[in-house]
Amino acid sequence: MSEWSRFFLIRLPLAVFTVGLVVQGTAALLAGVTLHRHNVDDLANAVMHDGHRYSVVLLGDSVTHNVAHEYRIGDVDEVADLTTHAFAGLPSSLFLLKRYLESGHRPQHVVLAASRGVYVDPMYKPMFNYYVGSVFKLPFEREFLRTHYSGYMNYGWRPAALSMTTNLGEPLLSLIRRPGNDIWRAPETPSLNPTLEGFPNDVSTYDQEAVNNRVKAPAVVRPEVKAILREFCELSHRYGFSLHIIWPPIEPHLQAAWKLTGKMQSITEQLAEIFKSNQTAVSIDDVVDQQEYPNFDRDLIHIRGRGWEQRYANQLTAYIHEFKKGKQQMAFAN
Amino acid sequence: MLFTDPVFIFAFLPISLVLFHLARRYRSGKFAIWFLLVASAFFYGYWSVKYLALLLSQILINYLFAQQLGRSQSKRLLWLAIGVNLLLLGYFKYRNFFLENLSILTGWQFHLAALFVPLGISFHTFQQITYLTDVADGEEDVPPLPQYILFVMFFPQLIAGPIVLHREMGRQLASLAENRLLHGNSFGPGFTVFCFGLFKKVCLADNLANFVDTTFQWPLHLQFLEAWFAAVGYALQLYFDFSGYSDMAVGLGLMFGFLLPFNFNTPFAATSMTEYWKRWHITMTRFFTMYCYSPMALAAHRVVDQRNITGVRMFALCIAAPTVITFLASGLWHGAGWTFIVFGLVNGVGLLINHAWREAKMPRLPGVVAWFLTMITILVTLVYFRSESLAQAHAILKSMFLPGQIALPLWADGIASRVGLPVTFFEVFQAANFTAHYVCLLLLFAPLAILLPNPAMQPNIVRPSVTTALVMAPMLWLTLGWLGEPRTFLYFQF
Amino acid sequence: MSELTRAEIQSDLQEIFRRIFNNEDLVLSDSTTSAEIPGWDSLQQIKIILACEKKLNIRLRARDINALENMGEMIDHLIAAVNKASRK
Repeated sequence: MSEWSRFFLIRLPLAVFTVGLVVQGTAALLAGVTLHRHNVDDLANAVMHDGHRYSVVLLGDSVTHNVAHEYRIGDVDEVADLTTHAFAGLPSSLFLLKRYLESGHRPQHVVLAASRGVYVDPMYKPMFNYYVGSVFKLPFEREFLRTHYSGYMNYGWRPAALSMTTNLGEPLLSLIRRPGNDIWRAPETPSLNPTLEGFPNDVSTYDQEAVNNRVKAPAVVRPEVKAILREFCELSHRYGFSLHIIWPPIEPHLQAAWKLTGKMQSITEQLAEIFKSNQTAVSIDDVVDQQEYPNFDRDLIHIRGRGWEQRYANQLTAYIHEFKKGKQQMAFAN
Repeated sequence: MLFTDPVFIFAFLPISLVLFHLARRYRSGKFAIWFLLVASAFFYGYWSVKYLALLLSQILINYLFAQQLGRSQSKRLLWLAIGVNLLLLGYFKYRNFFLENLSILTGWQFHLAALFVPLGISFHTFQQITYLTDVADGEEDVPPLPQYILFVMFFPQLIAGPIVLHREMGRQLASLAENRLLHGNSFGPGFTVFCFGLFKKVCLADNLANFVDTTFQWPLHLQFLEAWFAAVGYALQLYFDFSGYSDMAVGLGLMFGFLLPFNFNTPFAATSMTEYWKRWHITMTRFFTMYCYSPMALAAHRVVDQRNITGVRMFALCIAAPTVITFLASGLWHGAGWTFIVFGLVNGVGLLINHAWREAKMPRLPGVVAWFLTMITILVTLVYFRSESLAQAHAILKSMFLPGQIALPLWADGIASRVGLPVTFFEVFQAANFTAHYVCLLLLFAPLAILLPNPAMQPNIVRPSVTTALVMAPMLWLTLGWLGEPRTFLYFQF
Repeated sequence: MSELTRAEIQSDLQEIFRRIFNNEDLVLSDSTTSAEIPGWDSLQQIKIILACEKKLNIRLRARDINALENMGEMIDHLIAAVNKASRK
């Protein structure tokens, strides 16, 4: 047999098999490591271990997370900040809440403050495994994702060597980073009367493609989102908390465009119908009914300016306190 | 079809390899040539049958030109043939750019139909121009038509080079016609080199692309650090992408028993612009040197010598003019846009400075300083190369060299206060996670770009050893793991 | 013009190289390649061609020289050019 024949028939296959086996074994050893690559990992762990008795759970996307991460919502130890971002989406909100409840916590109110896009846009596939699939692996979570998010990632078994960065690199890096077992608590208390920045509202600086995409985006609540909302309702019945939807700030031009096409109203009505069909009383409030937010990032999604962020934080706190008083519709006092 | 498509790797390649070698064993070398022709036509036609017809027509027209040139060696006929080829290239690749600029100059309005550039047209047009010139020089004969078609269409080098000279392939094809492969025992090294190239493309280039593309989405809003990461990240991405592709081309050639020329020789180890262009896209540099720079420079030198011109005028005529013209042409060859022209211009100026330094017998710079200056120049050229407009390129370069302030992202305010830097909003580095990934990739890949050898240069030194197997095994796993996400080669659009 | 021997052409070429590269210790053999000579680039190549043309009273084509692999091939090419010129 020639040297190269021996190489292809014996040496290379053996080397491939050996490396595969070594990686598989190492991955198995590292499988028990709690991943801490990003805040979704941190929360997925913290919700099961944090001992604080929060009376309110706040869920939402990055519009809310960017604010809640910096400024405390509610009173001290009142609100558990389980907000994430659009790449983790509503699946992360559902699973974090479910883990929190199944770990013995009993909040009285659950507030979901996510932008409308999260309900009507598909999730971003390239990041799905990183922020959802590789985070949430409990049986219910796996089954739910396989059923409702089947096209987003491969759910079957793959040799660990095919994803070395995920199976080896990420656990190893997670050993370095140790954020602790508590849910993140924002470092600052928002000022009650923050100075509101006067940025000029110049739409020409916005990313025009993002503007057009946002305006043209469909306004139909996706089937997988309906399934998530059904689960929220089911949890609400089982654990006895009140569920509240709050629409976060929306860029005024986008809001105007959506109002013109009826999208704003349509999405709210679709959600109301879903909750009604699941026999769950859910309040739906919109912060811009009380306060317009003029300054946004170029992608038209995130509010800009520390003053405006604190204003939104204060609005959320006010809403939460009104919910606790039993009021579904409330007025925001300046 | 691309080399990184699973269809190519798991279906087309093994089937065509087996059938090719069976054809040689049980029929004849000539039959094997026909088989390779059909396979290459299928490879190209998989993308577009219409453009396959165009390619075949261009090849046939050039073959007819070659036959005439072989008989007459007429310079006028050669210029006509070159003109026809350049016109074809110009029509498909440059007409909109030409019409847009004509419109700006004259105010005339033109209807600009969507441009669809036939795959690899820049490469196979230039390859055929070299052949026609060689025939007109009396250096090359006209082979039988199937061999000529295969010389142009051999699928490993069809889409993005290397630009092969006929003298490099002619003997190999003639031998195949007699059922002898001059490099018939090179399947093993070929496979290894192919896998190495595939790894560079799929695991290194494509991973960088995720980050680099995000950064280049915000060219007008980058902070100092983001701009530098964009430039360095893109340079690495382009290198791994194109050198990976070129390795694959060489590897594939060897698997079929053909030796193709290599294109890269660790260019980021170069310590001068001259050296860089001897190491980067070597066959393209060779083309422009042989057919553009050298004839101009030699003619200029002769004139200068006859008329006893010296000093700055001599430098301008003999060195500056040929260098800048050649690099403007090569910049334009890369793409129909002002960014590509300026890419060429900056390279040309960099080389001029290099030459002027040497002609003036200035002292040699320390290696590290020379390397640093060379790399800075290259990064500037590549910012132009990647940007979609001059305005975008200038915005990025301004952030790199005249930033106004050097700040850290908001999430790094702890570090910032310790090092005494301000914090500000970062468009791209908004999240610590993303930034950390980007930094790790650059720190890992930059040394690889300088230290990893190019096995395509000397494939036959690859030994079928246990070490080779252990190096290849993780590369194969990593490549297979990332193979699912298709991305096109950066040089694909040429 | 009498036919120059290979050794004479090799010696002439070496002298040209030593002058252009400013290196009196430079020694050329048939197998020497451009990669082994520091400072070799397309500009120096043009100077070498011009110097060969003047020394040997011949006319060369730049792209022919560009394509040569090593000094041996260059010497062969120069011999052929000299012989061709002397037959005219």
